[in-house]
Amino acid sequence: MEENQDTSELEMLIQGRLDVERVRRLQMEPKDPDRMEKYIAIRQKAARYSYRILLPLSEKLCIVDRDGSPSVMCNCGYDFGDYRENWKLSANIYVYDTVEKLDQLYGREHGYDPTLIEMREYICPGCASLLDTEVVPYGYPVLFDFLPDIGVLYEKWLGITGLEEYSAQDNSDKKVATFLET
Amino acid sequence: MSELKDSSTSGKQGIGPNGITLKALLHDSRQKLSATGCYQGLTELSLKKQDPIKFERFHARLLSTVISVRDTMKFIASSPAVRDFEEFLINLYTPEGDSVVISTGIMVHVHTLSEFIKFIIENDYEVDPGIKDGDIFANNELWAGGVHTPDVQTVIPLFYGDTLVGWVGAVSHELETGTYEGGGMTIFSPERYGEGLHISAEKVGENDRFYSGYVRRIQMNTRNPVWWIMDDRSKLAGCIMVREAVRRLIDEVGLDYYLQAVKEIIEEARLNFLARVKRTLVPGRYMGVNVGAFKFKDVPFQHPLGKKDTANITPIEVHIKDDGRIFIDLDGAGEWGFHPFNCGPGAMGGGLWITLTQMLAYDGKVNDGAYYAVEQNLPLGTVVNATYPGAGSSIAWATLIPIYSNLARLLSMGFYARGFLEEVFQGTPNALMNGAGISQFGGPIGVSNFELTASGSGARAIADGIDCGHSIWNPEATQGDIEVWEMAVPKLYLSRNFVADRHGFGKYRGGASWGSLWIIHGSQTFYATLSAQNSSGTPMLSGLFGGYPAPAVRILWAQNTNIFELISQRKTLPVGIDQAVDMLSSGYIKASQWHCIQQPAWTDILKDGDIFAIEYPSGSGFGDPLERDVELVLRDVENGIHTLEGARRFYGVILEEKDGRLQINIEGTEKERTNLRKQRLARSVPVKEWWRKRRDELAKGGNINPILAAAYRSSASMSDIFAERFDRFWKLARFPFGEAEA
Repeated sequence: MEENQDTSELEMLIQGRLDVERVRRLQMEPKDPDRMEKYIAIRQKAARYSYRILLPLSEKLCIVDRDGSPSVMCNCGYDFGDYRENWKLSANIYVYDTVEKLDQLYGREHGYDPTLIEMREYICPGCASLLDTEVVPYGYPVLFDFLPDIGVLYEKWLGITGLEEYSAQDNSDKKVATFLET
Repeated sequence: MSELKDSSTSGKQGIGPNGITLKALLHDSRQKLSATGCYQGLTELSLKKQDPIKFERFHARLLSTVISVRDTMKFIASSPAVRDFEEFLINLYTPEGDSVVISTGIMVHVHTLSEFIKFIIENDYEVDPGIKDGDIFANNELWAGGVHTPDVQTVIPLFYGDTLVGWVGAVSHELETGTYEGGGMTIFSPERYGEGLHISAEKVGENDRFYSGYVRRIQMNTRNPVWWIMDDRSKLAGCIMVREAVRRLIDEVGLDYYLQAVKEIIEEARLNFLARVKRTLVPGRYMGVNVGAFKFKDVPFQHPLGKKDTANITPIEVHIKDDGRIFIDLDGAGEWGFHPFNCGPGAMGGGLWITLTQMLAYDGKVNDGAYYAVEQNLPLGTVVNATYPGAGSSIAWATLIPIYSNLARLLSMGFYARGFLEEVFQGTPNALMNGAGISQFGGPIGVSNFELTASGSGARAIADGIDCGHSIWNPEATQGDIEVWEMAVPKLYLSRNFVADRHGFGKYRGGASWGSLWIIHGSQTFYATLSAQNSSGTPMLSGLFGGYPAPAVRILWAQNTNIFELISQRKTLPVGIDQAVDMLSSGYIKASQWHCIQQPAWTDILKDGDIFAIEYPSGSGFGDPLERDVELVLRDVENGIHTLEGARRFYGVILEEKDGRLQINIEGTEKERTNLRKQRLARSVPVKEWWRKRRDELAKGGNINPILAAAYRSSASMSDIFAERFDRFWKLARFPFGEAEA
């Protein structure tokens, strides 16, 4: 793996290229107060969209300010809608819910019983990236893993105003209600 | 403080500072925390402010005392758990039972000891049996702060003059406790009465010596008592060493300084914890769920109460609040049951503690201050807070590990969002080999093989999980030496190695799964209980951001084999479980019967030349597996962590042998990965479409596994929110799993 001298330590960390000892020291040292800012800057540079990133959610997803609407967006630009509605409800899904499908996935004895659990894949309709996997009891509601309180984070923890209204209010019900419509 | 009174001592003066009873001190401490939000109502750290150097030196003296004493303790103990596996720790507590400084080691017990001391205080031990200098208290009971019988707590009061100024406590994990099946933990006993020797929050000695009756009880109730007895002596010696060191420190700094400083150390830890939460996490709500299934109906020799298949659903909801405090809600956990997987507040506090010390409170001042920044809801009567007096908790870890691994996984989402990728971590499930019988030396033997302490962790956000180096309950993970286990148990290792294609895959994979394959040696009577994973049929945990759970691990045993014949003929012996299965299947290894399964089992009587094996699991993966660095896949194949077929199946990487070396087919790999991505889109559907189909299936209710339906009913009977959440999502006319039991 080639070393680029201009690559910052954080970029190397993100790329999984930072030396193990340096990672260990990063874990032990006091946490840099501007890490989020620096991390968002790196994600922003790599993004295919120009909307301001408010909060990264995962390797592929960020909450962005899309012309005044806080939306969950894939790196490819696919928009999953308001972050207060579970983004998974706007994704594609594939479920390993039979022995045959689980056999296909694992290729050898896995020991999992699809009458007890279902393994769900959430896929970006825009770029076919695997965004998340979810193992839940068969029939369990789709998990809304992480609903950030952006208002509190920015205003109270980071001292940045203007996003106070972006709370951790779960509005997923609205989205689910539309599933009943034909 | 002087106006504090407590009726429990019938007007007698208490033994705490200023003549106050311990109970009054404890209640006063709680009241001040509740009223001010600060530990002991400390709104400022006055000693730290006055002379920070003195304060830090004071803390460093205490901390170095417990850490150095712990190292000495190893040389007094005799059990492999303490000598080789780091399964012990020693801590200093305030008079009210809050930890001040903790050693390294089995972190889970920092808070369980605190609960035990508080049990002593709340139950008026100050009056009966009395607490005086030189007394020794011990416990391994769930209801008095413990987790399960093998975790034996030893506590002594720390007097300075006539005043109790603190406690010193130590815990060691015992590998044999006289359980029904042998070993420290019973997998199959459905209630507490098969868990072996209980020490029920007792005074077990005075004048710094154990009562002879207590020692005799251990001798007569465990199969190889020397481990427990010597571990106890090691803990007692350690506690006395810490006690004397603290007394010397008090001589130097004065009692008033000591009592105030230990409070400030705890409050500082609480403040540091809140600051770290605000620096590294994101406020909001985090949600997960765990499901465990236990198929014991067809296990031979099973107790009638436990002879059934059951499942348990445990949702977890985490709220990180404006002020940095964390609230963990386990509402929706199913009811306790007749199985060894029940927990109580001590166990759950311990589980929480290990997560906190590994994720958020691992440097600076680490003590119960962090604990006071977190609150848990443990609904009464559920598997996380069993109230039935006979409830079994021997394998409480089967419940604890998934819950707190999920907590770590959920907190990792917050770390990730703030850009602290180096903090992202996922836990791993577990597997356990217990055994008992007649040893190679002719006496009774019972043991839990604690090489399980070094499983493969879940994947991180910047690297693969740790190979052979993780257990959630003890950051000092180690497999220990093979020779130690060969001496402790009548068995020899045929192999200990990685098992290919059995880890959680992802852009970063879980730490590799590995296994041990043994031959019985020097005994005609040995039986093992082999517990594959924490569950039967369900993975412990989802991965993160596209990573998958590892397949479940396997166990194996074969009886009346021809292994000795193969050895005498100098023929090839199996190296690894896969090879053993192949050799048994082909008849190369002859056996009267053999089994390779993926759920807990109790073997028949094994004897010289029989073989048995267990795999230790891997944690889940991180990220989209199709984005895994192809070089890493190649390296894994070279190291036996993958097969060529696995490399292609999981990662779309095509490797070919050229000139005697494995090489990556770059073009073929790119094509394969593109095809796999296309397949993903082709076979997936919008969630709406799936939702309508699944909703119809649930409404019809025809295809629901009765074990799972019972688990749903159990959770719904313990929680209105659980059923509401279900109704809100599926919008069905009725709960499809039947009526919740009242």
